[in-house]
Amino acid sequence: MIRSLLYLSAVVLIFGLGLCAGSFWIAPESFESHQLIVEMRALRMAAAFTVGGSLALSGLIFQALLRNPLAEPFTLGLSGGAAVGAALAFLTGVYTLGIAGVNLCAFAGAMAVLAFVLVTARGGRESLLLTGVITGTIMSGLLMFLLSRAESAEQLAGITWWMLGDLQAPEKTLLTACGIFLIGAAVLARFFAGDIDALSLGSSHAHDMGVRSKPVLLLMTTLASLLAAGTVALAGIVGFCGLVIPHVIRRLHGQSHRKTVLPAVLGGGVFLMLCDIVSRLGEIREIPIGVITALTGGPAFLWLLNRRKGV
Amino acid sequence: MLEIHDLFFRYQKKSPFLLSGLSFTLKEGECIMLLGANGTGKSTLLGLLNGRLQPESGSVTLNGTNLSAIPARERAKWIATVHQLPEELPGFTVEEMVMLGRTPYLSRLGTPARSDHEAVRTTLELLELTDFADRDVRQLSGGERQRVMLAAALVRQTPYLLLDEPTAAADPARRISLLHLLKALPWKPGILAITHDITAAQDFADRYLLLNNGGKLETASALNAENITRLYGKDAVFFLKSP
Repeated sequence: MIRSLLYLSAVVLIFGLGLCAGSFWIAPESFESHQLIVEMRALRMAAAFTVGGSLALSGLIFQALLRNPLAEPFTLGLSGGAAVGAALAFLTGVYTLGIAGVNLCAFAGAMAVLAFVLVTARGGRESLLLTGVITGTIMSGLLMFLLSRAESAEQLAGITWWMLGDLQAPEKTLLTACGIFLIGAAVLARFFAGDIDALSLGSSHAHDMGVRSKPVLLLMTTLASLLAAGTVALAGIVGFCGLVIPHVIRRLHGQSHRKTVLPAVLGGGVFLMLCDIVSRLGEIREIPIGVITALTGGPAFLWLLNRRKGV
Repeated sequence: MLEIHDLFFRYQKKSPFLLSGLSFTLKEGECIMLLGANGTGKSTLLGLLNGRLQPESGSVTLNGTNLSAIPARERAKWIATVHQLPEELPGFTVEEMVMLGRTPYLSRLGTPARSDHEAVRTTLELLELTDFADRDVRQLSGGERQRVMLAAALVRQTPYLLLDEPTAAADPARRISLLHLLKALPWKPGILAITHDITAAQDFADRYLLLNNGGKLETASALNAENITRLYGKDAVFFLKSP
């Protein structure tokens, strides 16, 4: 309870900081005179929290179900599908309709890959993992092909920037949908937390503990993938958060998912809000959020890893 | 009563049956040792008895009800299985791991009830694991891990226990004390245990199930040179205790 309150306090504090900080500082008493910018920053903070929370929860579930500490939200090849969808949007001119058009194409790409992996993979988690990784590799090849067909520097720059993650202009309706989905997913993940714990021992042990392995595996895989696909639609591909935050949360709260679901959502949200604040401190041009997540999260994770051995 | 009747099983349709025409019952309070050479289908039989695998024909029933018709959480309150140690374990503490065994009793959104904590505490004491409660299971020895897995099964106090070589990783003294403990469990479960330890089997079994290479099951009230030779070859008679 105390820990949850600490997380919530951190969310509120960093949200407030995110309203003030940016390419120039806005003190709280000046919010009214900079209303438009403050509103934009609030929208970005909400998007960063939603994306960070979704990625961390998705990574937490994938690492347990696939019993692989290197698993993350895009392990099943979703990022490859999303990138191909986004590249197609840039190459076919859909991007001229706005960033929402690109993101919806990316979401469709991620969903197509998820459907393909779920239909193709047979025989449990190993098959799921391998099918996902191979599908991701095929998508990478397809992406390279599409990049080679780009006709202008504008198209290439658009695809590259999108692939680095972008929280500059989140679409309000999409943000609301992703936010509501995150809340529902967190409740559902908490409901199945005991089952996820049991499945992390393997399906035979889970069966013995009264868990119906296959339906729970399918449901949780779909849930974690939808969370990841939602973030893609909202902000492009934001790497690292979904890999590192679950490990950090387990370090702090233990292995049981009964104790880690809520902290993962809040911790992931806080982490990405902080990264977003850092990304827009530059006066001329923003640093892509994916660069910040890797450059800050990576060293922090290595420090944590080597402070106490074993992940 | 856990009962198998005229059971046939194979993993693939076109392959020969791994288990054919098996019938036997396990009653509460009795201890059956299941013996057989490697690859004869002993672990598969345990998988059929706990509902993880489905027979091609025949039936597995619990108190007269087909096992597949019983909801998973309800079934787990009746039958607990101790599998062979998984190659990799996640970083649960010993206490968390034993609490996992209570899964069918745990509230889905709430925290474990007082009765769950009490059951975990009692089981840790029973298996002399109290001092390890906060340790990461990955830091334990093979024998200690096996005791933790046994504790995770015993914590539910099920009427039936299926054990896949439950003492394989234990040292000889611990092996004997674990077998004594299983025989003296206060709720007197029906125990079916796979073992390759012929000597220990002779000390603790009420009767024996001998699984032959052709997937045929033989019931025996005692182990002797004849049935052990049929099962493992004549060299294995060396391990038989003198009558």
